[in-house]
Amino acid sequence: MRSRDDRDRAAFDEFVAARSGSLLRTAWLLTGDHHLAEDLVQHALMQVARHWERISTSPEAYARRTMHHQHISLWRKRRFSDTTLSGYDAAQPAADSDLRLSVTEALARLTPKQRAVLVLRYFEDLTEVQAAAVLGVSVGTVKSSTRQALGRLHVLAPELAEVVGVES
Amino acid sequence: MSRLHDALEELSHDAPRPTPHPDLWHRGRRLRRRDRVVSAGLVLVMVLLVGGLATLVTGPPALVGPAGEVVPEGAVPRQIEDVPDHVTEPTDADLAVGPVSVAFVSGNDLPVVVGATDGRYRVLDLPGWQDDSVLAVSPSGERLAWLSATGRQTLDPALSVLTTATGQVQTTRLVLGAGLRPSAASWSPDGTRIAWLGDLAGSRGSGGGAVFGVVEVADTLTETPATPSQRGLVGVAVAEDGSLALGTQSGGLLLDADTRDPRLLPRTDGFPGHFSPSGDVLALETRVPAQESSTVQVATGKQWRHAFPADTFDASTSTPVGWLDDRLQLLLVTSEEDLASELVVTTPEVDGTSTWRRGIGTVDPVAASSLTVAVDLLPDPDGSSTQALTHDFGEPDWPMSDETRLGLLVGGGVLLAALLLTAYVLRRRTRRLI
Repeated sequence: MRSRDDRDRAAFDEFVAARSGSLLRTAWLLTGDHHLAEDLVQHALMQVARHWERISTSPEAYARRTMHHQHISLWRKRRFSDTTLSGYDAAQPAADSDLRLSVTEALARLTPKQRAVLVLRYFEDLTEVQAAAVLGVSVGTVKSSTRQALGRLHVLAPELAEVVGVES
Repeated sequence: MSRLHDALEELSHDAPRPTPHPDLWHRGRRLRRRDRVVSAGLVLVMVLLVGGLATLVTGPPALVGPAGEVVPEGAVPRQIEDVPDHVTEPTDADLAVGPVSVAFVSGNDLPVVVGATDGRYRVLDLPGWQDDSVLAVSPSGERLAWLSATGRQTLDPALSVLTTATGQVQTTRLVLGAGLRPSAASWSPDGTRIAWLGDLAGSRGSGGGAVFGVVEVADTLTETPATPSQRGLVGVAVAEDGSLALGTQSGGLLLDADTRDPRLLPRTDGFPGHFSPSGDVLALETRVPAQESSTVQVATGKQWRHAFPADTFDASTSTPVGWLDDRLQLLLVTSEEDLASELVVTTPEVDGTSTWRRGIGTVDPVAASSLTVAVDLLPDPDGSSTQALTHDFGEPDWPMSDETRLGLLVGGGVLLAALLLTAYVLRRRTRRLI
């Protein structure tokens, strides 16, 4: 007969095998960097293991919240030391007509918070209220950040107008 | 907007293949165990802090005394300290304190005793105690006597004796004590008599009158008629047979136990301290700093001197504290230079079998000025220089001053608030994530 710890370990392994790919895609969208994305996921999974007894009924939601918090936390720590996005509001010519490359470059020129809002709202399909809860900010902040992010995408990559829409 | 979703979805497939670290589970569990230890520690600190603060705010003042070991047979402490200035009230109303090893009057004029078995300091609430009362513990430590004038104009000064085992107090009013100012109280070696001495008002020291007497201590107190004297008297001692010794500026007076006929001792360099148990030798108090102690042979009046060994004391005063037996006495030697006081065991004279041993104990200068010691608690010397004659009970654990208590209260409050804030923030963060 397996112990409680063995059962938890098996359930955790099952969760990791099933969902780490999805988590890594979100992390990749958040960071745009393979190594940072892997770090984010590893950290989130370790926190899941840490609090497994309490979150075993919805480990993925906890993992995603942890990733977003960790991402913003890392961004806040680096915000004064990293090179700022100088001139990021200037329109950049699309280096490639490929839509994927345009989106990649445009996302890279958003602030981490703006990227997080876009990923939550348009990749994970969360409502404004849910996104606000995940990020620990007000709904108004989510709204304004979404508007700013879409507006910046519109400016940075005019060829994405059809993708982004005109609501910015 | 679904096209943005599709674009992000397509872009997400550029993510690398997941390679979760195989040790993730164990790392998480280690963090979990650490969390539990930290949480338990935090809870323990908060409980202790809250409990400590509650005790500080609502609890009675801590008892005075070291938290040292218990010595069932009783012992004299190796270090004798004065009471801190902020202790201005008695700490013990219950006078059944058990045997005491030391008694003295604090710098705040309060009666202080040290427990013989536990080394605990107690400031006692003695009935009739006055600022200028004198205090003396019996050689056995089982009785405590104090001489009080109950008011400058009153006619009834009193001598009281406390039985430390029961807390019973006996008091006798002293006749011929009008305007008495207590000067000295001294026990006989067997603890059956107390000689007392008082100056008449305005005549402390020399040049005025004095009154002295003896009280026998048993189940009741029996006072022999007090004797007035036109001389100024300094120091009094009583032998087991009731003989008295009194000091004057011109020499010592010996009074026969039965007839009270006075016999003048030749001029001696000191005043009466304590008779030896046999009554053959009288230890002398030297108030002029010297490098020797003095005793006098009662029968012949011959004075013996015991010079301090070389490189021990500079010029010092010597105060007899009592006798361990007929050969060895306990002295309190106080350096004139730094006023440091030390207990010394010595023989009356220097010969082939003489003893002189310092380092028995140290005494605070304030406590030294009125120190009496239950000398029967000192063990019989075995002749070795390594035998411990006193016991190290540790530092006295004085009650905190109001300032210290307030400081701890404020500091503890700030710390508690910080801990609560930390716990709140941590809990809030955890809840936000889950």
